[in-house]
Amino acid sequence: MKTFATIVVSAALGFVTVFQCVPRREPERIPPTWFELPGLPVSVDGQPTRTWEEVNQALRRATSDHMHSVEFVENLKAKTPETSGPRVRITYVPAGRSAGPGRTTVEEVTVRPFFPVAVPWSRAHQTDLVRYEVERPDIAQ
Amino acid sequence: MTRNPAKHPAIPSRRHWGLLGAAFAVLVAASVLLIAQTAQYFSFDFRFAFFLERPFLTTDRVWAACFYMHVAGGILCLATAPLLLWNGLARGHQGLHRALGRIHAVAALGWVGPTGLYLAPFAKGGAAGQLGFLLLGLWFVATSGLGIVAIRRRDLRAHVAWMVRSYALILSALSFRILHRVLHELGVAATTNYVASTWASLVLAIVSGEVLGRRLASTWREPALVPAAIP
Repeated sequence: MKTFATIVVSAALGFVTVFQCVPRREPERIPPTWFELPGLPVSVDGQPTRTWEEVNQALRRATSDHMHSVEFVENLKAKTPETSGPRVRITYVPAGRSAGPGRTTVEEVTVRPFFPVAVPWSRAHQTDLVRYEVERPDIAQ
Repeated sequence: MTRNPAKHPAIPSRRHWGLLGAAFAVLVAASVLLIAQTAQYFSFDFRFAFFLERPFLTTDRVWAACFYMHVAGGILCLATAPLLLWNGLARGHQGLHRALGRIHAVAALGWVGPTGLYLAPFAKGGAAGQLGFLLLGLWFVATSGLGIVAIRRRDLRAHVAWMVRSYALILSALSFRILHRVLHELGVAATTNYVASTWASLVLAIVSGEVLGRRLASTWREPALVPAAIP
């Protein structure tokens, strides 16, 4: 009885202590792997898309093969490693500049997939860790 | 069922002690690597792959606290279990064994077990993966608890058997990672790999714990009868 009481008390004290030590994190509004720009998508590498969901699927398809060949380094203290995947061209109609009849206001951006961090034992889940950022925006008329 | 004493000697021979020592050395080395790896979580950095795969859970402080308790308890269990088993088998210092045993009991039943059961429903791999971790947690709590109950009743054989089973389950953390890496190298898809590694490490832990636990318990003799036999 005394043994199990010790275990229960230790567990409770441990939980309270650890709970206080865990840093607070604000909830993220969107999943970090999600890529979206303000506006409506038109195409990914020339392939027509209608929603950002389709764009994200296309991004994943484009990067997944490449990601399987990436070697992770085991240094968490290192800065964000420049482990980039193949660039993807996305065209979209920016919000507030909808393409009406006779007008084509489409913007093209190059999106760079990259890993925010490198840790061991994560190679099987690489596509879950990929982030996307706009590399070089330029306007295509 | 009685065992044939000639086939199953009660006291490990010098050769057996050598094999046990070699196996222990490998286990300890692998455990040290695993401890060094998992201890990095205490940087409280959320950029680990484990967290990045679960962006919404890391904002849940209860989940995070359970995770850190699970890791801390797991490290304590991994560190104390080989010492306890070796010290127990070699009939070493009883005082040391008791002190380490208390730490191990708190870590196993107070930290690792309950938090593992809490974390199981959040595990990857869908229902199959979650069920695997749930069974692992339940069996771990059961074996560890029964091991402690046995020693409170001075039933040394049962204590040896249950604690060996419990230790085998602790080592499933190690076998899971090895299997996961091997299956990944073989090109198994990520989700399939995760579930397969979970269940394979669980089955391996249960079977090996059962076999070794029974074996060690069946060959166990009271300490007073065998002091000269220990090399």
